[in-house]
Amino acid sequence: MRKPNFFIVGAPRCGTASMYAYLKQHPEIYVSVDKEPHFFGSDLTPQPGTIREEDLYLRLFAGAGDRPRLGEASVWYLSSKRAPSEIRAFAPDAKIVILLRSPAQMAYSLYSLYTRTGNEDLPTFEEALAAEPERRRGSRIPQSAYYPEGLLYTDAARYAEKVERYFEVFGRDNVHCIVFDDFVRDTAAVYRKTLEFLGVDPGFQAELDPRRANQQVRMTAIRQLRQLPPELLSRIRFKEMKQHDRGPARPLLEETAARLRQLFAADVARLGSLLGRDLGAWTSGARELRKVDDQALMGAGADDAGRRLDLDVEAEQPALRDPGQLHADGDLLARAGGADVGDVDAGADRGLAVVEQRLDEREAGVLGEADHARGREDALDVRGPHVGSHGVGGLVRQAGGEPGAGHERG
Amino acid sequence: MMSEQVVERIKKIVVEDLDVNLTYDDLDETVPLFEEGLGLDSVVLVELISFIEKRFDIQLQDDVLNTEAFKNLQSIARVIGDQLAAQRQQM
Repeated sequence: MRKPNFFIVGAPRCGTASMYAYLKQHPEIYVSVDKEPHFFGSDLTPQPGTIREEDLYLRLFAGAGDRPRLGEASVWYLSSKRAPSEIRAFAPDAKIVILLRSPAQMAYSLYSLYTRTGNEDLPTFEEALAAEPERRRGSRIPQSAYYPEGLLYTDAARYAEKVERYFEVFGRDNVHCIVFDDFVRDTAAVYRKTLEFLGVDPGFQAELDPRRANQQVRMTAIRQLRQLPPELLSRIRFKEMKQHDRGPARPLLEETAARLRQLFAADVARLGSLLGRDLGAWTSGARELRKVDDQALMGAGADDAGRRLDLDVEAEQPALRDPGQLHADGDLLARAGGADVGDVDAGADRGLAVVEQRLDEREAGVLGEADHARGREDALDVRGPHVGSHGVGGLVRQAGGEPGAGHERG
Repeated sequence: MMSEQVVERIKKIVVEDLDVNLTYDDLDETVPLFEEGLGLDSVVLVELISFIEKRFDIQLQDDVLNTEAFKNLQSIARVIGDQLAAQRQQM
């Protein structure tokens, strides 16, 4: 069986699901119906539905035919110290795609997502940030948590070292980094560059409206699902996420955003040097997009077996299930809920105003879906039923803790 | 089999066999299946297709699995009806 040869490795909440849905439409590209198998990254906590068996993993690409590019998008590969070398050993010629956004916004978005999926139980982002030291030591992990590493929001949002690791392992020319702001501002141009990087026809015109893109790839996902062996299908089924209907999290407070911008300043500067571009907007706050929930962009792709499978289809919304049952069977809790829309600073320039308008439009396309299910996002990540020591973040679950089931990717 | 009967059998599958929190009251045959309507996702739909194939003793080929066919319960019933009619003609 053929192996995948490109990987979107993260970061969570940075538009990976939308990119996935756009790539899925390309005739020379085949992406796994399970967007986030998390096959690599042996230092990551296995999530419910994670596919670690090579034969099952390769079955995800069995329908690729003669398409030259085969890929998947497990968003926590970026945080894994082992994933780069593991991917390289498995697929030496692999191409790597990384999407990144303002770390303050990413951290907040991840928190917001987790409050809906059950991975997080603290009522405010500020409390969650304050709890990080304890959580790093293994305490204050919610009973329902399925991915403790994800609760270290400020760790997840530090990109430089992680990106550098991929540069070192794969070489700069084989790693394509996308800045979220660019993706929002000119989706078509970013998509085209990504196709060029992957060596496929860059002139292909994909549907880039998240909702329509999702609809477009849905039947493809269903045909892919029907080809999977029952074991794999049930694994993916297990992975589905439902979200709690908790409503949107409180908007990111300016003082918190300012504190985070300061906290991340050195990392952002280092990343800017690595990428050869000015990312000052991420730390100055003056031109930062605010309240941009990935949902705006992620509406298209979640993975689900379609949703997150194609789910990869982030935008699909699963039917609600009984919450108690969800917890009992380890299924995902729910998918992404409402999307906050881009809001621009008072001093924003016209370009950002356009971005804001686009986000509004995208949100309009996504909210209906998200609202309906009160249930699903970006690919959500499904986290494993057992939690032991974790290479990432060094979290150790306390004895007696019963990890929960819900999971989202993202 | 009348179209109405087919629709009723599909409803029964959705309510009683699928792991979704839907009741008969939720199921109008013209309501969209996906996020803008019943909120079914791809995996659930694959399960629905599997149940349909078993209960109606038919095989749905990939070429009929298109957006129009799976727009709502009514359109699915139409696909099933066409398939059953084709099978009768072959007998």
